Amino acid sequence: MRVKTRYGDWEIEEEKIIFMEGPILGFEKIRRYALLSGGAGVPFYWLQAVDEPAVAFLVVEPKVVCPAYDPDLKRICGEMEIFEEDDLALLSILTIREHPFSASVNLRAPLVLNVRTKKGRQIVLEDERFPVRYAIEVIKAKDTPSDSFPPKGIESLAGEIVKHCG
Amino acid sequence: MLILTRRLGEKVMIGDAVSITILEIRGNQVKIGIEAPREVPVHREEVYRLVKEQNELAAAVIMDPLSVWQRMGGKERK
Repeated sequence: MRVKTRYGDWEIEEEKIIFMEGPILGFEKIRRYALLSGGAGVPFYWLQAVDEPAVAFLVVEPKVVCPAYDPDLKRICGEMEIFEEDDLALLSILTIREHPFSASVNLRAPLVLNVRTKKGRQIVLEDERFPVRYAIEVIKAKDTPSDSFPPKGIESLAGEIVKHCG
Repeated sequence: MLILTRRLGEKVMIGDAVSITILEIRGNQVKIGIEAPREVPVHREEVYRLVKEQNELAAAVIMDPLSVWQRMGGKERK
């Protein structure tokens, strides 16, 4: 299906649409999203609201920016019927400031996705080790393991960016 | 605002699906237990507000994933 974005229309397979049954906080009315890959080897993705062209989030798999990220997801996985490791995809929302450039990642409130059912929730962790604004700087190429990246779950959800002309 | 007085162990019902139980009172802290259906998210107010504000800031970003990646020193894999 065609998804309108700030950058024009993109094409995404209908079965890859993610339904946020637990909304992104502050965006309670927006439930359908499409995950769009930033390009080969690029760890950042667009999470584009399907019905709101102006709403898109930059997201990243949190382990890419914080390898020690190990939140306790047992309860939420049970609730969301995520039984296999491959069914789980985690995404963290990035906040970018352009001038001067700075970036932070929200590790406290990740998006938990069930790859099988294409349902997601933004959860707020009780674990105070993980901040809402985790500053990230340069990601060195050697830090992104090429074998394990991108994570299987995320890759199966992400649509290739196929831009429509006009 | 509705104001109710409750004793230890007593509950408040909100609708027929959400219940709040007073579990412990110690000094100026109250421990409460909340039972709610899974579609009703429950958050501490200050954390909820912080996350919501951060989400709103994040949604206003107009840089695309590849530019952010390159800005951080990343390279596109051919």
